[in-house]
Amino acid sequence: MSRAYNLVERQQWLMQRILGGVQQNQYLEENMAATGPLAIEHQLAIYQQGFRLRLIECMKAEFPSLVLFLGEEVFHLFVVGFLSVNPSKHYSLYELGDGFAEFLASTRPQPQQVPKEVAEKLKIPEQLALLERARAVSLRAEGCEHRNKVTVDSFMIWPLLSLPETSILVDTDFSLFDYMRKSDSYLAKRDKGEEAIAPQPPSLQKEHILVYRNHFRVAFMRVEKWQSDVINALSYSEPCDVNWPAVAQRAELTESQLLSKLTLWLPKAAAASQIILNIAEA
Amino acid sequence: MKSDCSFLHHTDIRPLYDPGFNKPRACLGYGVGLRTCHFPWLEQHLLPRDSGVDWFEAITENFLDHKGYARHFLFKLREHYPIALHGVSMSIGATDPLNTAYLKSLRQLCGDLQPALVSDHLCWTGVNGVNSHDLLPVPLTEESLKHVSERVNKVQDCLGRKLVLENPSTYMCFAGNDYAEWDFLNQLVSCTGCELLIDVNNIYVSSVNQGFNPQTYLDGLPLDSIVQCHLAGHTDCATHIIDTHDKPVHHKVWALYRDLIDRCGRNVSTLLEWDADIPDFPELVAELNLAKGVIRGDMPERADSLRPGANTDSVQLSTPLSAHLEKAPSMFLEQQ
Ligand SMILES: [Fe+2]
Repeated sequence: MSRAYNLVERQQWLMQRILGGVQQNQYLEENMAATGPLAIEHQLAIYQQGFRLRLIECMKAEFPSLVLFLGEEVFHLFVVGFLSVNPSKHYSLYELGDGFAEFLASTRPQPQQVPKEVAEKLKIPEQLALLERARAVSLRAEGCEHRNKVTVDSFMIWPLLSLPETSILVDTDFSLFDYMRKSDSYLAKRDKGEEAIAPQPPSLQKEHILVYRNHFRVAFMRVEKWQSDVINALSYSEPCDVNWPAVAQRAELTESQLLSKLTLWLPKAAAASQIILNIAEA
Repeated sequence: MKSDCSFLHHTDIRPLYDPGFNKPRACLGYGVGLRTCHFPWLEQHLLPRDSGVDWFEAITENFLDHKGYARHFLFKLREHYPIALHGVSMSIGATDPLNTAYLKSLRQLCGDLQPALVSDHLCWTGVNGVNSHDLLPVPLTEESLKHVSERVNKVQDCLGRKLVLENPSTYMCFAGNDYAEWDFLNQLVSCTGCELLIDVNNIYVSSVNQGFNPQTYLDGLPLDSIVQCHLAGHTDCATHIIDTHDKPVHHKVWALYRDLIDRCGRNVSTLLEWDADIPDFPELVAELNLAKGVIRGDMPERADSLRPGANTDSVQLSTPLSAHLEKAPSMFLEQQ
């Protein structure tokens, strides 16, 4: 008779069987007792299949528009590939989708490997994944709900600006704003069993989409190029270190043009919790 | 027993000490698992007299490090209801070290929320830092009992309160076990003073899958330590049963629930879990309320869930989790 396995060995054995999938069936008799009506390889298969299925379901919940765009089968393949190189290391399922867009980008074929009309659209999945991940992050991050209400007084001294964790800018090369809007409404109708037409795939179109949260509600908004330059500057610098002349240059605006645009935009952006005004408490 | 809580000393959060640590638990009544799909309905029916439930159980991990609407709403509910925190990732049985980031976060949430109960499962979820997000069965050996007892003591010291452990559904059994699961739970309670959440559906599922008599399980339990029970639906796959949480409670599970409450000789906080194909809230409450009748002896009329040929062709998912992920309708706004 072989020696008894210790606790560490038993757990390592089962984990390897689960991560490896149903083809990983070594040392079953040594590790499992034959109990109940099912053969031990079928008992093990419940854990092996359940592991994949459970995590795929969770990824589908986070990336519904991407599932719609890719189709279930292709989406599953990407998720299985992603999880095999990035197994979940966190206690929260919300961390599962972190890095999925980057994984899709890393597995994208080179443009010269595919026909031109396909090459143009190769980045759609990764950019859609970025947008859906931004929604998931914005839903849970620290927002502006507990901050003081923005009033006209807040602007009488030009305040330091920063971005809340709930505001995430996604620059895309496709009409993803419309695609997400239409796929959201299509999926909602489909879930209710109503008739609905699936949206057309996104077309080539540069867009800057701000994902943000206001009163606990996540919103998507297309912003102009100069606004995306401002938001990018806020996300990369400390509030007091923003190099405003450089932002104006990047946005192809004169400094006075930028200032007048900011004067019109900032009160609305602050009131909608897209940006934070850092006002010293009296 | 003293345990190593040294990691606590590197933080500025003091350990929590629950003045009720050793007091007997009050029965919380009848509750349901809090699911995000019910938030809109509950917003409109916030008070217990309108919702029809006495308490809620929230999945711990979904509220750790959360700063959005779900946490805001959980605290709003807390103003009117006792809340139990029910974890799926403490991994109390794992041979990896306890996850200190997890415990710190849990302790913070306990301090803020003041939950009535803090529970997790007698299971492990992974090793080598990988989380399978499944409730994997613990080898039921002497070595394992010592290991789990030490970890339960550490967790109880860190949280300053008793940990409540639930029996999971199992589909396999390790070779070389020294204990039956009920004996293991008994020993664990005497080594650590932890409390038990008995999921009667899980007992039934495991009894069919492992071929034991569920009455033997009930006979072997330390009844005084049971502070909560779970009810849920399962899927009969003809050769085995999967704990799918997507159906009404099976009549054999109702019978087991009645037997458990009879043995306890008192009311036990009772909670209905439903995690896939989740019905509207009033339908959920109607199913929960059957528990009150069952205690009085009114057994619900239920046919066996397995129709000939049903549920045998597709893979059924145990412990479904995707419905716990928050899905809120997004807004799409045109440029300002
Ligand atoms: Fe349970």
